[in-house]
Amino acid sequence: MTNARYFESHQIPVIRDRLLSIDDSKWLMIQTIPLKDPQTSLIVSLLGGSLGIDRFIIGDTGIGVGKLLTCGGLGIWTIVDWFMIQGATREKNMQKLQQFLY
Amino acid sequence: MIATRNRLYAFMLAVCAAGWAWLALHLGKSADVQLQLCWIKAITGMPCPACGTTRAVDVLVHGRLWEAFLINPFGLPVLLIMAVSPVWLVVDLLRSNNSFFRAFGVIEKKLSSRGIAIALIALVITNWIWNYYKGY
Repeated sequence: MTNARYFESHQIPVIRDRLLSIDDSKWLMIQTIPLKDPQTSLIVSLLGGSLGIDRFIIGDTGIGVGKLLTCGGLGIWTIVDWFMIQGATREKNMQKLQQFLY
Repeated sequence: MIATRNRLYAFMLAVCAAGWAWLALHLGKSADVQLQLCWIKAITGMPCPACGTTRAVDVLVHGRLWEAFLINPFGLPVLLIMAVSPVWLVVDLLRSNNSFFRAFGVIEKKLSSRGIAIALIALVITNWIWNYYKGY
């Protein structure tokens, strides 16, 4: 599992089981899913969290707009997201993968 | 997008409550006595695109629309979201409906489309430059 860092550790066994059981024709599609790197999200969050750029990048546009309009939730939301963004990125990656697994 | 309806509703209600509480703390006070929580301004001395939003919302609730626009146009969408979404959420919850959740998904998708995203980014950058010249 070279892509293990893109997902939560508890999701890995489930993903492995599903990948083994799904049809081979889906494999090509799964390989082209644009997964986001949680570490990149963290760096973006540290640098541009006040403007909501971290949330825009992972596809959470609604929350991104909220952060942008409120100056990163008065700075508090920015700090909270430094700790949340890696988990949120992994969750987003799982949502993208789930479309093909089930 | 937040994956489930209840999570989104709880999140939005918490954000709106925090927004109203913040506004209640600052209503009618001048910019000098308001708390400064902007990271960008604290570190670089330059304002962020949202600097002045509290003041804009403050004058907007007193009905001075043009003045609010001149302070920061961000105040208009912020007050609109803060006023409309709690009512919409409560009605949805009472009716066991998910119309806000669906609308949030549709708006999020529209905002993510390339043309609209580029136009909005341009507007935000323009507002940022304007804020800089206003000297916030």
